[in-house]
Formats: sequence, C-alpha cells, structure tokens
Amino acid sequence: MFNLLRMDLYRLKRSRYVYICLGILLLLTSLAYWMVWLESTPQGRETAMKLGMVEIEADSWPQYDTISMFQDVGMSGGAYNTILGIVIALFVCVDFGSGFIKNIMSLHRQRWKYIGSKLLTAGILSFFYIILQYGFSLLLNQYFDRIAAPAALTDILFYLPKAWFLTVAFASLVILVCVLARSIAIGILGVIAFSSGLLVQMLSFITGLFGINKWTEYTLYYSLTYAPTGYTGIGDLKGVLIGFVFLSVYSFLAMVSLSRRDI
Amino acid sequence: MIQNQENTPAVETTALTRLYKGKAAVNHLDLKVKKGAVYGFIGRNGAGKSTTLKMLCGLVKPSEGEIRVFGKEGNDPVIARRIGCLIESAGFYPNMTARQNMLMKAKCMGLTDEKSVDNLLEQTGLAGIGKKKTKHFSMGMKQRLAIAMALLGNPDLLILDEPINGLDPEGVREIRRLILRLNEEGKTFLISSHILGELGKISTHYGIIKDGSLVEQLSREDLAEKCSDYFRLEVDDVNRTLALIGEHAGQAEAKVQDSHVIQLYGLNDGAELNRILVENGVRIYSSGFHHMDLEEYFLAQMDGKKTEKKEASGNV
Repeated sequence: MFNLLRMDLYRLKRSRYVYICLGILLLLTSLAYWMVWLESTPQGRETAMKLGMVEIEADSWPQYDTISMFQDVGMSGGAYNTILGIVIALFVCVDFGSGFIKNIMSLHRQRWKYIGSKLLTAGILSFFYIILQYGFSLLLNQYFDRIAAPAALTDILFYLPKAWFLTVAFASLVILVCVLARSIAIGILGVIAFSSGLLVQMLSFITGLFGINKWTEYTLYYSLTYAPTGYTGIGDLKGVLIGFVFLSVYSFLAMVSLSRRDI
Repeated sequence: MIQNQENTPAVETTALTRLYKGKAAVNHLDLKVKKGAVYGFIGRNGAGKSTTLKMLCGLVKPSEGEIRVFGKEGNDPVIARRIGCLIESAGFYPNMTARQNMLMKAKCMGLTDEKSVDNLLEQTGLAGIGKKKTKHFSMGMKQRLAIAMALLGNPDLLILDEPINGLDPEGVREIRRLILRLNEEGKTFLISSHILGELGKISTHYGIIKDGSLVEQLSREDLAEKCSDYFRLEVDDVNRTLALIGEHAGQAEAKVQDSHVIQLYGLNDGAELNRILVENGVRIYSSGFHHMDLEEYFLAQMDGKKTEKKEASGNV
C-alpha cells in the first residue's frame, strides 16, 4: 500500500488541479475575510458605502474568533469539502479513465490497498489544505485589522484535527462514488450533491415536513457544519464517531465494489 | 526437484471459466504455456482472448477454475510481480510524460532505481522524446511505451494483448526483435494478435480459442507438420486425374477440394506428374507446391475444416 501511496503522492505533486483548487480555496477565504471586514469594521463599512453596498449595524455582526471564522468560511457551507472532493474525484477517476488502473491492479490484487492508498492521499492532501487555509486566514486576519479574535490553542488543537478527520470521511464517500461510477462527470456531480450538503438539506427539508428530520444530526455534513469549535465535554466528540462510522462503511463498500467488478 | 521446476509451466489454467449474465465468455479453458515459450493466442474478435488474458493479469475474477503461474496460485502477490501486462489499450496518465508514467509504475512496484526506467525507454526508442505528454503521442509511441511499462521490474512472463497494434512496419520489426531477444534471455511470452503473419514469425507455440473454448494447442513443429507442403492441381477431369495419380504416384495422398482442384500430400516430383497428366490428355489449368501458413490454418480451424491428412477425403 505504501508503494501505491508513493505513486499517488508523486502524481499529486504534479497535478495542476491540486494547485488550482488550493488557489480557489484561498481566494474564497480572501473574499470571505474581505466581506466580513466590509461589514464589521468602520473603515470597511465606509468602503462598502462607497461601493454602494447596504450598510448593516455593527453590533448585528457575530463575534468571530479565527477558528469559528475558519469554520464558517470553509466547512459550514461545504465549500471546503466540495473543493477537496473535486480534487479527489479527479484524482481517482483519472485512474479509471486513463486505464492506468490496469497497471495498478495487475500488481496489487488486494483491492483494499488501492482504497487505503487513496484515503491516505486524501488525508495528506486535506491536512495540507487545512493547514494552508488556516495559516492563510491568520495572515488575512492580520491584514484585515484583526476582525476575528485569536482562538485559544486548545480550540485550534480540538477543532482542526476533528475537521480534518471529517473531511477524510467525506473523501471516502467521494472515493466510493468514483469507484462505482468510474466517470469524472458523475464523480464531480456526486461531490456537488454530497459534499456541498445539497442532498442532505433537500432531504432534511422534505423529511422535516413530516417531523422526521432528526437523522440529519447523524450525517457527515451536519457533523462538520455544526461541529463545536471547542471541547466542552465528551458529547463534542460525537462528530468524530459519526465520521469514523461513515469512513469505515464507505471504504468497505468501495473495496467490495472494486473487488467484484472487472477492471 | 530442479527438474520439476524446469518442467513447471509458466502458465497453467484448469477449467478456467468466466460467465457474464450466465453466458460463458471463457469456457473451461485448459491453457498451458511452457516456460521460455512465445505463445501465440489466436482467436476471432469476442472469442475470449482478452478476457482470458485479463484473468491471468488479475483484472477479471474467474467465475470458476484455477490459474497457476510458475506453479503458484495466480493471485500470489509474488507472482503478480513476475508478470508484465499490456492489456487492450495502454493505460497512461495523459498529462504526464513517458518517463513520468514509467516512474509512476516503478513507484507502484516499489522500484527505486530510475536507471531501469531510462534503459527501457532507450530500448523502446522513447528516450529522446523529452517532455512530450502522452496525450500527444501517436498510436505507435503509445504502444512502445506500453511495452516498456510491461517490461518494468524485469518480469519473467509477459502477457501482451495486441502489442503491435498501430505500429508502422519499422516499429513492428523493432518490437519483434525485442520480443525475440527477451525470449532468448529466458522470458516467456503470451501474445494475442490478429496479425497472424507476424505472430507466425515469433511464436513457438499456439493456442486457438473459439467461442471461449480452446480449440487446439500446438507447437511450431506440430503446426509445420500440419501445414506441410501439398501439390495443388487444377484440372478439367478430377476422376481421370485421380486414377492416373493412383497409377503413377501411389505414395501421395489426395484430397479433392472441388470438381477441379486436388491437393496432393507426400508428392515429391510435381513436374513428372504434370508430364504424365498432359500425356494422358488431362488439361491442367494450374499446378504447384503450396504451404499452408498460420492464417490459413487458423481459418481452417475456425471453419471447422479438418486439415489432417488422415482425415482427407478422396484418399487414393
């Protein structure tokens, strides 16, 4: 499996879309900071007025720290997962589309190794994306007059690993979709439907009409969007448990699918 | 013990079967490829060649049957590393160069020495193409790269599905030489190709598959014997000709093709027979020695014709 991981990392480093998606992620972060700055600081509001934007009351704006800001910018709306998911979908589906999968599978006949390697690659990529995005948001915070208060180190150490783990669980869902569909188009459609929360929100709305939408609390999307940013008790780890269950189920299903179908 | 290992076939399948929706694409196939052989695997489109080769490469799971490679189970991870595969279209990452694709596979195999990659690119004539991405490669270049990739890790068995597809004559000759050289070094080849003339130049053994079942396995020597020379006569009167043959060339075995054509096996002197026939008033439209090639033999097998001399009709 580590040979496959070495191969994947070699390709990851040389894949342009990895950098393009990172650029988009950082651009979205910049835009979000800029918007918050426009709305939440006197200087920003003045600029917003000049740009013809609607003024809002300063005290109506929520108080952020860098972690809650990070959560709102990337994780809550599903932007981070969508971008990461697109990278993973391209990364996995190209194996099938190009036919290189034949080279891999003729050598590695135990299919779990392929899934394991892709999960590790997604984990490494997500780790770097999260670190870079959070690091970049700290720089932006400095640049935009410290609009977010500095987060406590314990909150950072609690939230970022948890968010990372849940994004890896999301990645396992993307891998499953790609292994089943083996098509970039379907893979990306799957990413948009699942990672952005589109499907969950739609189903939540429909089931909500009948008062049976409690299940959404047990979804990956909910666990990431409404994850507590600081540790207050064991209940705050519920999201990790949910992530673990989904990660295991999706990885298992992907492995079974890969084992049963022809390459 | 050493003798036993020597005799162990490179590939041996027992009742290998692959079903798709209840229909057998490969049906109880008992294939045997000797070590050091160049095994030409022949069959029409859809006969089950690629499915068989895919099963041997671990890309398709057999529904039934057993695969043994070098005496061990086909799924053994050690065995997988001894097999180099090129199945159907070559698989490359389109936005990478030939060298990068090779390095990808080398990493996948756990190889660390990049020299082997450069050597193989050199051997297959791809060393000088620089940073050209594989998506811009011609069919021939792709085929060469696919062969180079199959050779990575110095495998003992090479399974090549249509390896000369899309190659120009020079490319075909280079690949033929490469295969023959590697075969001399002891590598075993299992090759499927529609270009039977080319396959006939390199194969030491043949397997003919039809509708998922193996019709025949034979060595080059067996084939040569079965395709032995015959004397073909096209005459106006077959019955009179057969009578004259019986009288003057009784050692020859005759097979009547149609009302004008006779094939004679075991005849040495065609000129003498022609003279006798002419002197006896038989009109000869054409005559001459003929050797059946692999293609003719294959077509005869596909058509279900019996080519064996003993089964020939019209024996004299």
